[in-house]
Amino acid sequence: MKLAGNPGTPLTTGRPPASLLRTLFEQQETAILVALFVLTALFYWRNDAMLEPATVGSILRTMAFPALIAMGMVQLMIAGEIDLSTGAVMSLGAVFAAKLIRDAGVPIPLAVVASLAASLLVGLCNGLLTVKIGIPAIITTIGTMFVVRGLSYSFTQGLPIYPLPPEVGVVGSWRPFGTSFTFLLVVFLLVVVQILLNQTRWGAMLFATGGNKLAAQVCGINTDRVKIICFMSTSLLAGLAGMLTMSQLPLTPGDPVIGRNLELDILAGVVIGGVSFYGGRGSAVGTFFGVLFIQLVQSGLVIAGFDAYLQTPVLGFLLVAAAVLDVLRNRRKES
Amino acid sequence: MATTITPTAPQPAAVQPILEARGLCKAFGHVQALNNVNFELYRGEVVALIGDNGAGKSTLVKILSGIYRKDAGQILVDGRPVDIHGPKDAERLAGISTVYQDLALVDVRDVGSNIYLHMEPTRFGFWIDFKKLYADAERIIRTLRIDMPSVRVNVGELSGGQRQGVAIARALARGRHIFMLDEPTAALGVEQQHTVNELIANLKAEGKTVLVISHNLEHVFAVADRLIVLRRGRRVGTRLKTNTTREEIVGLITAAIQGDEEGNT
Repeated sequence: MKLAGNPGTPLTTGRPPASLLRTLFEQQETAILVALFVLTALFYWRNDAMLEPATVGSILRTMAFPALIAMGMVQLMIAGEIDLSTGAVMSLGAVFAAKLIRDAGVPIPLAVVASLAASLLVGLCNGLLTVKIGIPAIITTIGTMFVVRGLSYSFTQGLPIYPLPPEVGVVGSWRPFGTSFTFLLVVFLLVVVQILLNQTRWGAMLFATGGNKLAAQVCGINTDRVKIICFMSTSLLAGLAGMLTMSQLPLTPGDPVIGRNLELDILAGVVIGGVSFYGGRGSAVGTFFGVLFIQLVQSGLVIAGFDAYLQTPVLGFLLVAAAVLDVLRNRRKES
Repeated sequence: MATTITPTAPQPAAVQPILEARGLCKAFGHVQALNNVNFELYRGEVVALIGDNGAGKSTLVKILSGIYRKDAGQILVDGRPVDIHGPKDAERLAGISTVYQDLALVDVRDVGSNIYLHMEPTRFGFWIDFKKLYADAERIIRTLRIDMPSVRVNVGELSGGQRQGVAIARALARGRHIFMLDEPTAALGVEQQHTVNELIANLKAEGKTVLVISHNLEHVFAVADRLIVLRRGRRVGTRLKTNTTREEIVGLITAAIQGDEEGNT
């Protein structure tokens, strides 16, 4: 480095030159997009049905639920925290609303609001325990995962709650362009979150909180509040996703099984999409593609005629692989 | 007691210090970290606070920046007594900005975003006006004459001296006019130290007041107008750079030379 220059030292604008290829692959969004194409081509080669509208629609409808929650999770993880209770909160969201509708005769909109409030409460607990008490989020949210999932089973004695009024299925049976209401909501949120992250002060607060908490605090950011808001919005989206799942299932049952293992799909998708475990890095677009990738692998394995039991080990493998990439990226930044 | 100015101080007694402390005391258990210390800072000067480990330099700065509470004594800003209860008070009441050794920068964000962290210019109070943010950041970087590839480069990719520059630019952007730098050259190579020296000179050229804590006498003699020597919690000497030698300062630090006792006992 040179010494500080003359008063008129010109500042060059833009980044220092780097090879185009390297820049492309440092952008995880690009890498994941390439992987999506390659994988689709591979599955299509094994089975033409891969690209039939029904197949594509089904994949998009299925990935919409984890993707919806991932739009909250990406913000939470950029702020440097994590939530493993999302699948359980989905279950609670559905079961609680169903119980209110069937057994307490609560009107549907009111039941939805009550269920969302319950989800927010879980998020608040996650946030307070993590931020104020100082328990690592991974422990807090594994704890709430068991508590919430357990409550959900206890409410229902493990049995789906039905029948529910047919109105419950109205939203879930809508098929705009062969997709679903949830998918449209995800696309909308994708745009909103991407703008929030990159264009607003909220985004700047998130990246600072996860990037260097001390720096954020020195500059007057209330990092505790930022994190609690993230926990709450992630839980809120999880509860909503649970109800939307219920609405989309045949017979619309308030089934406590809803959202089982989905927290891992979400986590794997978010991390594959380029969000760092270390906080301070990630994007909504990358997250969307990451979750889509996970769904594509899972559905594609079946479509392409592989053993369906391979889904779970492949998911675990991808999660670890994404984590390895994350560690390597972080190590290179440090050196 | 009102005139704490030593015979070697540069300003006439009539000039009001921008920041002044009288009779500061601070003890940690049985250790008297500061013992009735007076301190004054005049507008536009660069003062170096020097002394051996445990002399009380950091304690003094931490009291002034609101991190420690004083046991006794008074702090005055422009001649008016102020109560500093925390770093926010120090910034708000006294315009003091402390640039810490660890710098508190967000590595994963670019220079402009770091300088304007949490005070980003916005449109409609929400959307960050990046055009204005980067333009303002460039202006500040130019003011400080920091050599920087671009204000869009991530802080994590910068050298130690450049990072120091970003930290100071951030304080400058916040309208602070007293800069306290805690060991700004501690972790830097020789070339980077020169960068920091220039930064301090440029701050002074902007009419800002700088207090540097340093072990590094070479650095101190390069940047400071006035040197204040602490030894075991007491102020033992004040010298103009032009009126002293390295030998004398080392003597004051190590007690080889008897300290000036005025106003300190």
